[in-house]
Amino acid sequence: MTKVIKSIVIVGGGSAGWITASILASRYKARIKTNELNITLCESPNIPTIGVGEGTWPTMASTLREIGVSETEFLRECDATFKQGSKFVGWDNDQGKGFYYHPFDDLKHSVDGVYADYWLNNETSVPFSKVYSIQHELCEGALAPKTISDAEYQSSANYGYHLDAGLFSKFLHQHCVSKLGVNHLFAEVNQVNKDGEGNISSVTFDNGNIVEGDLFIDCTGFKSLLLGDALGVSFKPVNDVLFADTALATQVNYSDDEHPIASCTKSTAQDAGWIWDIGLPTRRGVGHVFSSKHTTKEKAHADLLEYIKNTGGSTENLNVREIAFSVGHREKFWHKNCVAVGMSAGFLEPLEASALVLIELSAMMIAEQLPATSNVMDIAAQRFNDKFTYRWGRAIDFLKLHYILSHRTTPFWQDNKKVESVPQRLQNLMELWKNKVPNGHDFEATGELFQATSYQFVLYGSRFRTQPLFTLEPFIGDYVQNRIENTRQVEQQLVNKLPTNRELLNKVYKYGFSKI
Amino acid sequence: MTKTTIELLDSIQHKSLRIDTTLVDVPHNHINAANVSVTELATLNHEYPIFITKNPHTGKFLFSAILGIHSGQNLYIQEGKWKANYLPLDVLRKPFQAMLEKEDSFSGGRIAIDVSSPVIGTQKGELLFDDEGKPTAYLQRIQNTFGQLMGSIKATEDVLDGLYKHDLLEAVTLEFDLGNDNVEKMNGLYAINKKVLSSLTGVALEECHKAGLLEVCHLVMSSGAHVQKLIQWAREVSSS
Repeated sequence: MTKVIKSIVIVGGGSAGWITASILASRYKARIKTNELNITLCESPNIPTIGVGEGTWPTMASTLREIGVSETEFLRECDATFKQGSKFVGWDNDQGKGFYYHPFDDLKHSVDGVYADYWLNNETSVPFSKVYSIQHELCEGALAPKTISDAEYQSSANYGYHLDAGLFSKFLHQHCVSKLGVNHLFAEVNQVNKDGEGNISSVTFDNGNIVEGDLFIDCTGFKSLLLGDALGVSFKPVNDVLFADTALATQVNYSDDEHPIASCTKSTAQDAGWIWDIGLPTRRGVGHVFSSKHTTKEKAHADLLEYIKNTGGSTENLNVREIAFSVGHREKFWHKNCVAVGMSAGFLEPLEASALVLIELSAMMIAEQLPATSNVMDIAAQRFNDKFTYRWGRAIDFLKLHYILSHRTTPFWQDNKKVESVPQRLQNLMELWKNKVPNGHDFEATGELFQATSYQFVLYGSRFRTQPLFTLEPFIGDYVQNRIENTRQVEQQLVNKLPTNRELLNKVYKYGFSKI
Repeated sequence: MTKTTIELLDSIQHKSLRIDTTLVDVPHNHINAANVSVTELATLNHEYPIFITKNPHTGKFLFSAILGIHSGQNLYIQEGKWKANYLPLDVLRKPFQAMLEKEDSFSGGRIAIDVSSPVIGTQKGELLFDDEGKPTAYLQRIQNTFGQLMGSIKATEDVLDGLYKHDLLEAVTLEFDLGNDNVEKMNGLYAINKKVLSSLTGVALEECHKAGLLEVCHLVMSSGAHVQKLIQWAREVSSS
């Protein structure tokens, strides 16, 4: 029986649930107003949100603007700060020397490869990111991407955020319920009910409530209660590619109120993994992601404390939480009338902050492909699965790239370089890039997660060097030289003009940004 | 950058200082915008293009009389004279400035002077204090100027807040075609959004009327005619 899709049920709160609700409800505001669509979010009252600091991509700024959130309120209420990229420290060698940046800068001519060609021919002594991106220096100075005179979501440099995920969920919850007409109820899932065709017809909650729906969105986290448990879609682990399976997460207070707030996520390589370091206004979120097969929890814990001490933090009264995880994703993400978003769809170590952006992209695609009637559900599902199977695959490739470029020698890093652990597609790309720089033609899908620019930052930030076989045409050299000089001028102006992250946040708390 | 030496005004320390009020072409006037309070709009709109800008330290809106196209350029100064009948109070007060107790509290402010200004000497110009150490008529006028400036701060803020809240402001970029393919752009300016203004109705319209916003909108809009004058002056400067 064909029915019109009028009712969407999101099971699970947290970032995944509330981001999805926000994006869907703002996209279908008119239909919700006329009661032609209703969105209900049901969440367990008992699940503690995992409150580690999280990083977003620049996509989050446009997402927040589109769902109608004030950037000032967001920054004030979610303990958010400005993020301009990632800094990889000590990934190359056992001594932990050196670093490289993967900034958010969207370099105009890196997609055609001209910048990389020129750099390989001429300037290999100055880091790639320092030559082409203003954000190398901005991050070194812990500077903000904008000033208090810039309107909400406007800036001089591309940026995302660091935020407290727990506060962020609360903030979006409030926005969804008060402004976007999303229904909300607190209850524990008791049972998922299916109809004769294997679709989910309703969910029974512990308080006896039965919530029916036409489309169900599974945001129940690792448990994957709907897509995994009820519909039996299996989990496809990728622990043969990415070995980390445990995280030790904690919060480190700043030594004083004036402590700089970093403008990038710092990822520092360790013997069997790496440590994230995310600057929030009052504290840092720090955590050690490692492979339990390659080190012990005791050693990982000791390494974490050592890192905190070395970066000027106090290790007194630390509350360290252990999180075990399985890297991988569901065989498919949309099955029957159920689509999974967030950790119920899959999980990757937070090396490139892919968690929140995958949630945003999933919710946007659900909004774009939202089937009008139940008989075309499978078409939407097929499109979604094709797109996200591709996206997860490319995200895995890109994370793996960071590991295979290292010259570290402990077993964890050696195992990472074993050819059988490297996805075939990435092997092919590495072969290709021996004599040709990555360009846009290597990444032709629409909505690629990581473009050629990102690959260039990581490849050439590491010691990998493409050996170009042909000389660069002189006019291209002149052109790039001119762009580099221009970049230096812009960089100098911005270094003089931009406040530090902390200075700007203090002004945001006091004055706020205006909307224009 | 001009070096400044700010001293709180003191009847003993500054007893013999004189201000040469005839000097106009001096560093502190080499500015391309001057702050304007709401009470000055009705006078200044006859001679200056007035736009809204932002205070770079707070991001809050300000009324500004535009004096030149690029930083440091004051087209109103020509051959040592200021080519207008009325000057913004923010220009008239110089080389004096208010020293405030706190960054944005205007209570208990005191007047200070930039003693490095070339308009200050001991030979020529207006004395600040008489033999008994009392303010001269000149200094009283300056004090009065500060009184007016301070007294209108709240009203100016309220009007700008009102314009913002009613979506009556919009970001604009001014393009100055100086001839010979030379087009200079000026960013960071806001003007009255005419579309929003003309579509105000009901309660919003009444609110804007009562708060004096409609009058302010028309004053600011009518001042736009002076942009053409600036372009003309700028062309003369660039061709000379």
